[in-house]
Amino acid sequence: MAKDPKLSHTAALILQAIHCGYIYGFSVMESTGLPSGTVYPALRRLERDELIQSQWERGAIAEAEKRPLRKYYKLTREGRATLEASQKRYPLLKRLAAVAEVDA
Amino acid sequence: MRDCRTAKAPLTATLMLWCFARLVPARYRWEWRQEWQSELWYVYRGSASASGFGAWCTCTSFALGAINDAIWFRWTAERCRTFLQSSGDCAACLVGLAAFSFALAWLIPGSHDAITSLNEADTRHLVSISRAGLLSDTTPTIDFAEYERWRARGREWFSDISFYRVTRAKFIVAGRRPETAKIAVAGESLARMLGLPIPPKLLSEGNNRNHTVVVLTPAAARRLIGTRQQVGTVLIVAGQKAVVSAVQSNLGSVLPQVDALLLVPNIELRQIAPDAPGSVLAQMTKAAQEMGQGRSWSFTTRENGENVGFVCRPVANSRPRPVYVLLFALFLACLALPATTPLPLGEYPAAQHPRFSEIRSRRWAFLAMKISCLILIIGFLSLVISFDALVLTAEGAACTELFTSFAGLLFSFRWALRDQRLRCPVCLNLLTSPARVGHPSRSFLAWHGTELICGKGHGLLHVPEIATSWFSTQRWLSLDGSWRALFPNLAER
Repeated sequence: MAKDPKLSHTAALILQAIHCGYIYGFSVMESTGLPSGTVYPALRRLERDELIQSQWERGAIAEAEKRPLRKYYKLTREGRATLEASQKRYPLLKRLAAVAEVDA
Repeated sequence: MRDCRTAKAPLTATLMLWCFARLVPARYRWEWRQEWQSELWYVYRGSASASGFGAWCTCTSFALGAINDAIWFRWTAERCRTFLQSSGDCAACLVGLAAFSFALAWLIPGSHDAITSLNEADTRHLVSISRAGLLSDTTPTIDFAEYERWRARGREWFSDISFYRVTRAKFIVAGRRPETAKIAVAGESLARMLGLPIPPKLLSEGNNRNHTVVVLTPAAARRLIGTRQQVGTVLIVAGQKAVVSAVQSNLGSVLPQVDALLLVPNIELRQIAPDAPGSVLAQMTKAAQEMGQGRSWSFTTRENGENVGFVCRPVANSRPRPVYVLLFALFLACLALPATTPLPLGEYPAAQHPRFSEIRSRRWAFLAMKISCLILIIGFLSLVISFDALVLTAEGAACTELFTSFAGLLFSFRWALRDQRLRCPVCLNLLTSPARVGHPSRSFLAWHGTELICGKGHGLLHVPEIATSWFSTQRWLSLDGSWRALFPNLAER
């Protein structure tokens, strides 16, 4: 992985969404407005480049709520650094954080 | 919001995910499907406010995105092109594609008609007769009185002869909107010449007008009657009751630009005015066939003290058959291929392998299989494109078929040769790990180019960057037993 990777706008948007707390595929789709065919392959690429990390939630939680298990994504240290660089490159990215705070 | 315990995603989306999961390499598949299935459940629950159809659309469009993800896994996560890498995968993929393209061509009406018309009555012995000096053979130039004279005495060249007039008529079918179509009105002799399945009693001299027979082209049958049972349908054509006796694919090639053939009893045909112009189709005698040899020919008759020339154009020549168009495209593609890629497949020294002849036959058989499958794929797909995707005349369809099949064959043959060059001659798997060898500045004493290796350790392929007199084409180097330690599968050789 390059020290200062240049992310595409879409990848940076997805990274920002995860940073804002949209931590599973469908919520990333909803927050960014991107289709499933873009979001999931982008998540795979980000995970391959070690910018994000995935983890299945514990079975007991999903079982108790009677719903299927979810796969959650979170930023790695490299991911956070890359996101900061991307925010400088794409200043509008920070708006997504503001929207997320309003939603919360 | 739907109850979590009862929310069940639409079957279509689940089935799509199951199909796309086949693309994902086996070791990732279970987890990949779990994630998509789980997300689909949430998507479906999230679309609670939408109607049943709305939820179905949301889930289907979500599941469609899975194909991108699956393809990403197949091509990228594996870090090498495992798809089509082995000869078995490649053969299975090509055979599957050939079967798919055949199924597509068979299921789509226009191309289905083009395929089935190959088995229909031979029309090579038929000629259309028109006055000399006209470019088009569709213009009516022969009047009915002249036809009657020929019918009475012209048995030297023509064993059978038929007069028809082309006109537009309104078709009324019960339960459908009236439509107008182009019809050819003819007598029973035309049905006999085309080998149409007409019950003889329908056209007998004593029949009344209720027994007029209609033969439709497949396209006209779909437009006028629809997809229900077409043969036997009773309809009204130009104000008279008629029954559909056949749907004939080759009708359009014999009678160009005609949607239907209306067969009337001969007694009715004789009521046509003597000076009414029409067209004539004739069946040649053996002597005439030998004289014409499949080409246009002309003859002259003497009318009112003047010589009048007529041209006989073979019907089979006027509309090329799809298979001949494909063969012509194949010929053109073979001619053009050397301009797009070199033809030599490389040097594979015979002495390097004990089973050289067996390996060489397998390699050629694999190339032949690839080329055969590609011809079938391109042939069927070009039929689909030219007879269905574009609404064209018969000539337009032939031109489209020629162009699409030529382009398809040229590029697919190019791929087949390039793919063959990059395969190991022993296991026929694609070679991997390309590495640059040598420097262009030192080409006087050493070669420079690319070196590829077989993943099973059968050998190395040296591909020169610049062809020289001593290294003109790629060269294969078999690895001996001393490499066995690096490649556990090498023992299989």
